Amino acid sequence: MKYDPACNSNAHLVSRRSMLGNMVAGAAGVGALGQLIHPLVAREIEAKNKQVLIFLLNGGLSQFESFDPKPNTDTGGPFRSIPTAVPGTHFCELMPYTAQIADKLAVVRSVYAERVPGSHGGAREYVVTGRPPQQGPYPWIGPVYSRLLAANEDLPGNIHITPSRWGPRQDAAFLGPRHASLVLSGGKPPLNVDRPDLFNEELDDTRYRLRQLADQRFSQRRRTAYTEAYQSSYDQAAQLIRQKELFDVTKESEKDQLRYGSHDMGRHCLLARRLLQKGVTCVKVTHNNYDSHMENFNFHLEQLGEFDQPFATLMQDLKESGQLDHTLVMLVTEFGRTPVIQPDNGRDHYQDSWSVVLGGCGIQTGGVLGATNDNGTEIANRPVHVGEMFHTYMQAVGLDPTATHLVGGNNVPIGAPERSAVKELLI
Amino acid sequence: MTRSRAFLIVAIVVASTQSVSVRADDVPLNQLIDRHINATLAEQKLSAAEPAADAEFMRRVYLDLTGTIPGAKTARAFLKDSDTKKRTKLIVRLLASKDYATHMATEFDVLLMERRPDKYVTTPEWRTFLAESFGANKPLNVLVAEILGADGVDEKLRPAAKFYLDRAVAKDLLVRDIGRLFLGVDLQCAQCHDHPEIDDYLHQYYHGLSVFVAGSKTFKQPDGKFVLQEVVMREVEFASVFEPDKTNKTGPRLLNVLMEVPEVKEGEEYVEKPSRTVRSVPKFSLRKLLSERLPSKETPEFARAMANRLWAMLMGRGIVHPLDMHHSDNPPSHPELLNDLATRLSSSKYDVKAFLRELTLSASYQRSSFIPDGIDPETLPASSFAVANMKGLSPEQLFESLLVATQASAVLEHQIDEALSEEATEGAAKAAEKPDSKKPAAEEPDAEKIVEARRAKRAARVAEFVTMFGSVPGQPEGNFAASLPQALFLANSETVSGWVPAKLSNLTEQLTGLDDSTKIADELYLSVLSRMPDEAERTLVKEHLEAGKADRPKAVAAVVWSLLASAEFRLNH
Amino acid sequence: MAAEEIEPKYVPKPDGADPVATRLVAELKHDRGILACKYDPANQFLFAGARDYFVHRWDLGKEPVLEPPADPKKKPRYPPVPTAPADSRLEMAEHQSWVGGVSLFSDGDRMATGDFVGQLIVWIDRAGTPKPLFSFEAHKGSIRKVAVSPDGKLVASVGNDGAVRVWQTDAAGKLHQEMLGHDCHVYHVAFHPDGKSLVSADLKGVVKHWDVESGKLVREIDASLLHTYSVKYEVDVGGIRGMTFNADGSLLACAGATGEDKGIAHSGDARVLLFDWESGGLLKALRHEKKEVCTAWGVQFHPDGFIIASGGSRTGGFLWFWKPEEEVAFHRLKFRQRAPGFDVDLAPDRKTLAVADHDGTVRLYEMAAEENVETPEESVKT
Repeated sequence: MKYDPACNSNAHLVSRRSMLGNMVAGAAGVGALGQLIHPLVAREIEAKNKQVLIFLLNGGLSQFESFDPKPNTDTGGPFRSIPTAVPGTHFCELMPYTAQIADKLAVVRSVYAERVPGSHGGAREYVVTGRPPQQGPYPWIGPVYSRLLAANEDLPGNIHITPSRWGPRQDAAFLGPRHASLVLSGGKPPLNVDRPDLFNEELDDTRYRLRQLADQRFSQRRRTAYTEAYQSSYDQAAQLIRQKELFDVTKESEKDQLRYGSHDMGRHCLLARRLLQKGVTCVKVTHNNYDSHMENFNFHLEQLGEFDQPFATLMQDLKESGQLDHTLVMLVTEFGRTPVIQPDNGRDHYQDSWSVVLGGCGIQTGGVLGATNDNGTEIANRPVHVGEMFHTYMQAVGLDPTATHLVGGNNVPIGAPERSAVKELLI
Repeated sequence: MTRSRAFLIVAIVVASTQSVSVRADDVPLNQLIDRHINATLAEQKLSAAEPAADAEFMRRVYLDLTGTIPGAKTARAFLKDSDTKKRTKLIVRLLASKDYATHMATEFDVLLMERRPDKYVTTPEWRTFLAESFGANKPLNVLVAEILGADGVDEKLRPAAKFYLDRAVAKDLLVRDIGRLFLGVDLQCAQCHDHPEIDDYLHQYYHGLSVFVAGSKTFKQPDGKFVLQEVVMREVEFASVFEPDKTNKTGPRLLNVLMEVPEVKEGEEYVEKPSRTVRSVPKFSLRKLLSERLPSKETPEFARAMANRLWAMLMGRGIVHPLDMHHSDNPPSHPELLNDLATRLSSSKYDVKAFLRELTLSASYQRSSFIPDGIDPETLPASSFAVANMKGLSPEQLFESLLVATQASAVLEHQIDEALSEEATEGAAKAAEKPDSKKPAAEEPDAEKIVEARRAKRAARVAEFVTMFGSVPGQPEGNFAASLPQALFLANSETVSGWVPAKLSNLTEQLTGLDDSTKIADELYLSVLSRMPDEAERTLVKEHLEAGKADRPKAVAAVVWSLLASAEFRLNH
Repeated sequence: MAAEEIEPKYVPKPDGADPVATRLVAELKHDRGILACKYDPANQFLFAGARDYFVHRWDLGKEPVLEPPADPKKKPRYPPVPTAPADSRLEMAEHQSWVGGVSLFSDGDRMATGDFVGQLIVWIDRAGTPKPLFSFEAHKGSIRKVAVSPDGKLVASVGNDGAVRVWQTDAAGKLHQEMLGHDCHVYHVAFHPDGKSLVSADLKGVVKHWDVESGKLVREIDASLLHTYSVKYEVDVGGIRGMTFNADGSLLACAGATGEDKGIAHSGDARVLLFDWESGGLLKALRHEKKEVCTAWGVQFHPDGFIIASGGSRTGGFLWFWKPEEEVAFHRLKFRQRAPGFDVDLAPDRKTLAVADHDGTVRLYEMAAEENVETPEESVKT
């Protein structure tokens, strides 16, 4: 009989062989247990002050219409390829601005993953945790950076700028909600950041102080894990309310607002720049609508038309301000799209090969790693697994992906232990 | 402040756990519980916390049995009551209350549906069904049998079909959830092969369980209502992904027990044969078989799983933990206790009220959450039950408790009315823009509709809390966790902050009207934290009010909020 | 159903086409999805644009026609396809992208084509050895469709840059008029049979009626039924995919899909909107009797008075047939392949249809019962 497996057997093979007796298989259980969490951190000195900018092109960016064009082949689509700032490297013509900054990027054209349950959600989780979702939940990469890199206690370590209608996600798993993404839905400030009329600033301080006194009294001679987490959430809230202008992109110069464009993606990229300048450790920007099962070419034309210029502008600005030296930039998507053009002019999900782009801190830029064959149906050279990419994302900012989080007394490797970083991508 | 002293459990009970289990059916379960827990503590030489003070016990038992904190008046009366049997009487009273039924309905809805969005059966219908069941103390096995046997056709039992229907009768999801929720085993990873890490979870268990539901799917009746139908199924074939060529077969199976399926003559299998227009009904229904055999003594895993879940609901942790990981590599913390709990649950005809009564009567439940003096909390693991395990309030508990504490029912009603009238104004404006609209401009408000609109608005406010504090749909509720968005919500959201300022005789307004700061402090602590303040706290309130006398209502509001936002309020301790 | 069987769904005119009897008669094979197809008025050639960089020409006389089955009683649901079709296909290479716009001049000699990177080519000697008369970049970004005026003096092109441009056909890049006003991708363009009016149609379902001579906007026709704004995804979905006038220019048909907001991965329901040209009023929103989750891509008026559309999605491809006075199709033919027909053209014999199929084949259908067969071709009813 045919059934749709809810778990991936290859993953189990790996996990059984390499991790029996280890904590990994039980990570989900640990999250549910909610035991005391004392993540033991392989926090390395040089990793301090590193920042990360993540672009998530949500739905599955087509590699054909972006970084791995195959014009005039059976799979290629109608668009042409154009030369880039890196001689010999071509992008799809839908990315003219990004093509001009290709020397600041490293393009990996040979990323792959096994199929995992849960369609987009599952595949996305694989990309941002480096683990198949059925082994999880594992913390997403933003919370991991927030935990391991964030030095500034006054700021949220991990901010996620999303299209409107995105709610908060529980993406921190066993790292706890302290590190969960703070969601700026539609690029707007977080919900409930305005204090009610009732409390002016002074009285606001008073109520937080009284609250803290009550907690101190309560936590004497009680288990403190819950009360500490609770206190910390109010500390963050009190800080954030004082720094509301952090989220106000209109505080940026008019010239910059024009350069980035008035559409959402432009505003969101400018907001990302602002947050990074103010010292937020990890900023993620999600851009939607790449799930082009229908009208792949129309949607990529639209979406990349929005994405291309502000992305390139932001890269340029980070370079000029010197921030790019300590900021890792990742452009990821949950999977690629099929070489086959579907009846509705669409492309479906493709996990056999797709492209990921890196730049900035710790990355060897100005080149392409890996290749697909002539019509992009399979990897021809240097396959790179999403798990290896996760290690690379860690190592690029000086974190050791082979170190562990300590969860409820057990060591959980930061990156999947059977993988390692892609040396060719790292400086 | 009273300093509790460590209660070193001396061997008042016989130290050997062996002798504890000597069957004494006349021993009340609450004593049996304490014998087991204390025996293990003595054996491991662990100190236990003192018995909880009246206030601590009262708040806990209210939250656990009715889903909300007691109001100030109720709390005061209980604390003043000098009856030595007052705790027992309170437990009995709460179990008989309507709030108990409502609270259990919420708990079991969240447990069984895991906050999935409604599909074919609405949450109000389903919760009403559950509340009636718990109110009438329907035996748990009967309730589960109704859920597992439901087809959605019988109007009276239709809500019970939510478990199947709102999972779209998706086989793999059902197998996983039936296993997890009713048998305490998460078989997901045994779907494609024997479980890679858990030797007890066999590949055939997954498929054996799947046979029961593999023939079932939805059917859309002519009236548009979705119900379940079933085609004949006797066994399924499956092959391990490691040995794809070796096919195995299994009939319906509850873990190790294979069920007999009666032979039916070919051509005579159906009451209604499958067709596009008629709901197919086999003569022998495997779902019915499941509903008869799973929640019964023949499947002891059922009573164990349920006893463990009810225990965890009150004690903050399962005897087997995680709750859906019953297997030999994850042994119970108190094996004999779990045996006794399961046996008593099944021998009492799965009487939930009796079970919860005994649990709450036990000294183990009634322990304080204060760590004994001089003891390192690290030496008292949650699984020892030496100290009361703290639990975060569920989103629903938090909502109801905030409302009780602030005495803001009238404010909430006002908020709801304002929202409704705003909508009505907007609606009228829109209708005015579209003169061709077929709807009459001013519709007569219909009393029933208004009640429903208010219910929906209140539900929407609760839903805000669920989004903020609950688990994601399709995931079980986790333990307490705190986040920045939650803190911002409790600090600044219109819903919460609207209840705090003095208005419509709410708590802040009442306190503002009192002149004596001691009275204010007493009433405040009793209302919000269900206990009296100590002297230090009274002084704190006094000093704060003096400092803020320029705007007394605001100063009161600030101190009210500070307690609402305190960990003591946020946790069930 | 039985009651319907008694009354014929459509009574063919004497010597007219019988759409209910429509059956597959030939397959013109290629290996890339076909996007547009046009019959040569002499009925000798069929021209097509596809998902490659060529314009294709088949010599219809050299292509085998499917033989009727020997035993009509054992007739398969779908007739067999010839195993080794003669390959009469000629490839014309000049374009630098897919060719979505193909329009023939009535002079028998010239042809205009447009591609997805904005190149417009006018070809000569189309029946002999076709070669470009001229070629130039007519749009920034894709050209979606081209249309040649009835007198052959003008060719109109529309594309993703939102512009409608009318070019003179005697030399490269001689702009006759530029019509601006669409605020999104323009998908289709057609000349009115009188040659004085031009209609252009876009993603948002706006049809603009232009005066060809002055280039001025005359009016707008509302076909926004064929457009959905997805609130959830914040995108425009749909658009006018097919558009044509009837022979006397009294009716305008627009094809596409309508539907609720289902995001970007699901089509709405196929619709053909029929407009009264004089008033611009919507006469009928033509549909199938049941919800048809797909798009109508191509549309044609038959001189016998009925309307034909091709379309589909990955779940199925169809030809639909309507009487202009009835909203529900009187007949539907479901394709063997699960893929849409992106374009449909009517042969000069008025009985054969060419359908441009996603799977890389142009299929020819005859709207007539097979000879020597008493019962008409049974086609799928739902």
